[in-house]
Amino acid sequence: MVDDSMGIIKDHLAVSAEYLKINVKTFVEYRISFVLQVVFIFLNNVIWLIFWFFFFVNFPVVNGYVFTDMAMIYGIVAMAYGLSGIFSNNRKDLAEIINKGKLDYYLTLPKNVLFHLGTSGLSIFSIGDLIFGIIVLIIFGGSYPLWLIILFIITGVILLNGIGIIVGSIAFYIGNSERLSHTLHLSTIALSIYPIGIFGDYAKLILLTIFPVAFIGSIPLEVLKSFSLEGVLLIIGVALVVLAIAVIVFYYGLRRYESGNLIYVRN
Amino acid sequence: MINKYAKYFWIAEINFRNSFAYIFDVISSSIFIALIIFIFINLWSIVYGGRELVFGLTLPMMIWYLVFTEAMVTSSGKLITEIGAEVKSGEVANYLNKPYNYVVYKYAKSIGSTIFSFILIFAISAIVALLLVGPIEINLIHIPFMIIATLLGLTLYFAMSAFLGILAFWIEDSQAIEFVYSKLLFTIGGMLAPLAIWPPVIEQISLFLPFSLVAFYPAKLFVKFSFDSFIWVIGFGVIWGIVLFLATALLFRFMSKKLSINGG
Repeated sequence: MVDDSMGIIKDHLAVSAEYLKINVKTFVEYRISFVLQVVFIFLNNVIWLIFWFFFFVNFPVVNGYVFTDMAMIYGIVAMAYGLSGIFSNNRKDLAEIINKGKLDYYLTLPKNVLFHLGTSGLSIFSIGDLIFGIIVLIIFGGSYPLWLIILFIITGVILLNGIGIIVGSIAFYIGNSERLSHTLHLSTIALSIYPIGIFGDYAKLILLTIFPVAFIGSIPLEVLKSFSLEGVLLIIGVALVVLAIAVIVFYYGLRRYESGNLIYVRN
Repeated sequence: MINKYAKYFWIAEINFRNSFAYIFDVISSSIFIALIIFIFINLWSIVYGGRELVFGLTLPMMIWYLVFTEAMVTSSGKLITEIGAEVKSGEVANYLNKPYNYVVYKYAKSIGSTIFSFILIFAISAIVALLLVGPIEINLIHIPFMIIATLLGLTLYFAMSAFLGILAFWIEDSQAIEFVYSKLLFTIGGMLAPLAIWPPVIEQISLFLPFSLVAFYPAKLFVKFSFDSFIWVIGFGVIWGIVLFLATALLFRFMSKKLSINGG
């Protein structure tokens, strides 16, 4: 039984690795474009960070937060976003995949639908985010325990994927929700890069419960700054609960899925 | 002469009306912008603390400044990616035998839908600002001048986007350029904060770059109008407009020749 489960996991990871290889090969084929995209996304993040540096030069402490706090949040979110984009970028396109009947392809193959769907897409921009995140965390995260940073990057990836799946799965329930899904994806990123302490009580409540994006970067920063085991367990717990809800929402919605007769080329 | 340009007016007008068909798209992105304004209200409220003025603006003025800059920068959509895709795929060749100039056609098409988006994004963000920080004083006499500065800013946004989009013919990728272009508008264009947030050297350079004419200057006129500033914005904006449109026209002509060599 255990051997079977291990075999299935190995099998799925092998498929994921193959997808990654194929996707990277496809992008590397267009070398100039590949390098430019990675460099420009890196630059894009650097410009953002420079802005916040000067923001904090003008206002050194904002509700107890300093520039390095902002940089740490940004570093963790960029790493989580980068990894999520490399291993499971399809979470962002889930609503479109459902709406256009593109789920058929995944349903006909002998692999876990959600896993296969998630891992078959790759965003090349994510490599720029990943490199940026690594550099920022090396510069600003030196004083924090490495294992804790790695743990929070992993919980960040789980949360981004979980929220992405829930947001994308709305398409099963209300039909054409691509725009709504896109807006919620953008909101996830926009809200996760700010410290929770700048928000009012009602906004905090939302960001810690029904739209728990504060657990991607902001709450991990609080735990890094003043370690507590409860804090670590809370972040892991929230990440796993969000993922469990995502899986339930997806598979419950899948029962309502209706294929279309649209013929498309899968690339 | 009038007939020669009337077609572009009609293209803009048709695209303005077409935008009603995509109203939910625009409302969806407007809600996102409203969310950003909500974040900024939280952030700037803390920054102001007990302070009356920051960079010469009160808290409501700062928030309305941001409402205006967000609407300016986000209402045009992803023009570089759109033009870049047409240039890269060779689709641009389909426009060459039409009785219009490709760049002016794209401008007319874009400005029609941009004006529609601007109104909607501004209106939805304004509701958030109105509810959370209240109104600011606007003199009705200044509104026509603000409209001129706004149209000039949106035109310059297009001109820079068209130039960078056509560059995709050589650079291969336009989406990444779009990211960096938007970040420059966010920062040295003054979308995220007035340019005084930068050290004096960067501020002075930014004041003379076209990015600030898209966000900083029109928004500053909106919250703190002065005729001196308006005249400076128009003079400076028209010069940048001529430079950018000429550069784009030259680049397009050069590219068109290459395009015919490539066989479209």
